[in-house]
Amino acid sequence: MDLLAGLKQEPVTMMDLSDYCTADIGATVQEVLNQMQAHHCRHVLITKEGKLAGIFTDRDVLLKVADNKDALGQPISELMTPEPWTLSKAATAADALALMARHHIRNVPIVEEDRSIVGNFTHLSVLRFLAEQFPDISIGSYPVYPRRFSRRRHGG
Amino acid sequence: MATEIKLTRKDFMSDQTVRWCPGCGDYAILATVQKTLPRLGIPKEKFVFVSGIGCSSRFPYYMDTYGIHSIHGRAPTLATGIKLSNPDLSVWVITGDGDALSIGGNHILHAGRRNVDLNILLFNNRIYGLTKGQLSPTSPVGTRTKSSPYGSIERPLYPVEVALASGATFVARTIDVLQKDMGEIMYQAALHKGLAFIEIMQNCVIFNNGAWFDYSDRSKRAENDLFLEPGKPMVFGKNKDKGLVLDEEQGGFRVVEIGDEYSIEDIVIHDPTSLENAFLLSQLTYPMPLGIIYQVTKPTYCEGMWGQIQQVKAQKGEGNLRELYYSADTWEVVAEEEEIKAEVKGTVEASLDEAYIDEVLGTEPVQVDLAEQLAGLTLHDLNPKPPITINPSALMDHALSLMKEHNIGALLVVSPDRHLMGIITEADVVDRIAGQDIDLHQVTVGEFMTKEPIGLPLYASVLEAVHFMTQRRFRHLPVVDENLHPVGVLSSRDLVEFLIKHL
Ligand SMILES: Cc1ncc(C[n+]2csc(CCOP(=O)(O)OP(=O)(O)O)c2C)c(N)n1
Ligand code: SF4
Ligand SMILES: [Mg+2]
Repeated sequence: MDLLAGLKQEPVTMMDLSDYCTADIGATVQEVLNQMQAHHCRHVLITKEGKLAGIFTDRDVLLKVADNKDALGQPISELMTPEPWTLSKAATAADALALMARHHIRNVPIVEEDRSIVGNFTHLSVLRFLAEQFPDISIGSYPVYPRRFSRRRHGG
Repeated sequence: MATEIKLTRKDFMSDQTVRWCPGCGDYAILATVQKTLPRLGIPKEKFVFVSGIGCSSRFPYYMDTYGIHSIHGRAPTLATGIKLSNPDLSVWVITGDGDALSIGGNHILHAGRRNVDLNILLFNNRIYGLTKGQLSPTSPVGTRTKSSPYGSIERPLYPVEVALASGATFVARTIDVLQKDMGEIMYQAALHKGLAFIEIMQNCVIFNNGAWFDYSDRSKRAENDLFLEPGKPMVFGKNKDKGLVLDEEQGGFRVVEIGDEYSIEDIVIHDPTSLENAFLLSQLTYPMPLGIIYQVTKPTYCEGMWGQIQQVKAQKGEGNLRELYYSADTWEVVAEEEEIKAEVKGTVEASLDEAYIDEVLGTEPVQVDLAEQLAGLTLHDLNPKPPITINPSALMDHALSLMKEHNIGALLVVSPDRHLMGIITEADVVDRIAGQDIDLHQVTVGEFMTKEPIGLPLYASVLEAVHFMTQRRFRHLPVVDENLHPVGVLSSRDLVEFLIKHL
C-alpha cells in the first residue's frame, strides 16, 4: 500500500468527519460551552441560518474564556473565528492536509456549495484513516504506564 | 546371533569440557552413569539422553551418546516421543528440581501417568543453580535466597511423592556421595519396564552448599539414612537399633528404639510393591529412606500404543495419512483479490492544485513503502517534544498561563521525584474549569488533573500511539522512559505534521 497515493486519492467525504458539533450564531458563549461539555466536543462549527459562519474551539476557551468570566455572557459571534478555511466535497485527504499545513490550522470544515456543513476534517480524521490501514495493530501489545515493565533480561 | 558388547566408562565420556563448578555433586552422578551403562550390554548408539534447562541439564554434552539439550521442563515429553517412535532405544531424562517441578510440573506427571518406559534422573539440589540460586519447589520452608530474602513460606514438594502420585512404576531415591548405591539403583531402573524415576539428592556447592549434609556427611548419615532392602525390616542407626513401626493413631511411620519395648519383630518389613508403604516413606525426612521405594510391573505406554496400532492394522489394514487428512471437511484458502479504490474526480474549491500539494508535501518520488516504514517507527524516532511540567501543588492559574505561554494543549503533572502523576489538557479546561464558579488562584493542579494517565514507553510503535489517539480520543500522550519518568508529550498534531513531512 502506498500511503501517499492513498491520501491523494481518498475523497475527504470518505474520511471520518465527525469531530465537531454545531451551534447557532445567536448563542452566548455560556450556551456554547454547555454544549461542548455535554457532548465532550472540542470543535464547534457556528452556523447562521444553517450555513457555516465561524468556528470556536477548545483553544479559544483556553485563551479567551477560562480566566475571563465576563466572556460568558457575550454572543459567540464576538469570540469565534469568522470565515474559516474550507474545502468542498470534491477535495481529497491530501488537499485537506496541505491546507492544514499551509495555514497552521487544526480544523478544515467541508462544505457544500451553499456553505451548508458536510463535516469537519481534523487530526482525528487523519489518524483514523491511518488506523484503518493497520487494522491488526491493537492497543495492549506494549506494557504502558502505570503498569511496570522489566528492565533487564533474565538469566538462563 | 548377538555378539557380546564390551564397553567401558571411557566409551561414554565425550570430548566436551565439563562446565560445572568444582565440587558440584553433578560430577559424581555423571561418573556413576558412565560406569553403569556398560553393565547393561546395550550398544552405545541405542542410548539417548534428553534434558531440559539448568546446570544439571548440561549433562547430554558430557555423554558420548545421542542426546538433546531441549526445552525447559519439556524433556519428559520429548523423550516420550523418542521412545514411542523407536521403542528399541534406552531413553534417559536428565532434569533438575526446577526444570522438572516448576516449569515442567505438568510434563513430568503425564510421563508417570502413561508409564512411559523412560529413566528419569532428577538432580535435586533444592535450588535453581543455573540462574544463581533462587528457591525451587523443593526448597524447605525458611530457605533464604535472592527471590525469598525473608525465607520461603511455601510447602516444598517431595519429588518421590510426586512420582508416586503420577503413577510411576519404579520410584527410588539416592544421594550423590553414595556412588555404589546410586549405580545399583540406576542399573535396576534401566532393567525396569515402565517409568523409572530416581531422585538424586545433589549438592550445589555454590548456591546451596550443605543442603543434604544431614544425610551425606559421614558423621551423620549412619544415624539419619534408612537403606531400604526388599523383604527386610526397616532398621537404621549406627548399631541398627532403630526402626519404623506403624503408628495407627497417627497414620504414619514412627521411629522406635529396638530394645525392651520393641523387638525386631515389631519393625515393618519393606515391601516395594505396596503403594501405601511407599507413600508413607515419601513423607519421611528422619530417617531419610534411600533405595528402591516402590516397584511394580504394569503395562507400558509403548506396549499399549503399539499393541493398539497392530490390532487396528489387522482389522483395517495399513493406514493412509493423506486419506485421513482429506476424510473430513476441508477448506481451500485463496488469496484475496486486491481492493480497487474508486478513482475520484473533481475540482477543489480552495484551488489547491497538484503542484501546490507537491510543494507542501514534497515532490520526492516515493521510494520506500511508507506504510511499512511507518509500521517500523517507534516514538523515539519521532523525537517527541520535551514535556512542559508542573507541580501538583501549583495553582491552576499558573497552569493556564503556562499553556498559553508555550502555546501547548497539555501539561504533565510531575512529582518532586519526577514521577508522572497526572495530566492537564485543554479538554480539562473546557470540561471542568471554564464557566464554573472557581477561583483559579485558590485551586491546585492536583485537584483538577487527570490522575495516572496512560504513558507509552519510548520504544512503543507510532501505530500504537495512533490507536490510543483514535480509540480513546486522547490528543496528547505522555511518553515515559524505563524509570517511568516523563520524557516527552506526543500530540495528534505532532503525528499529523510528521506524516505531512514524510509523505
Ligand atoms: C522458559 C524459561 N524460563 C525460565 C528460564 C530460567 N531458568 C533457567 S534454568 C532454571 C531453573 C533451573 O533449575 P533446576 O532445574 O533445579 O536446575 P539446576 O540448575 O539447579 O541444576 C530457570 C528458571 C529459562 N531458561 N527458560
Ligand atoms: S551452580 Fe551449583 S549446581 Fe550449578 S554447577 Fe555450580 S555447584 Fe553445580
Ligand atoms: Mg536445581
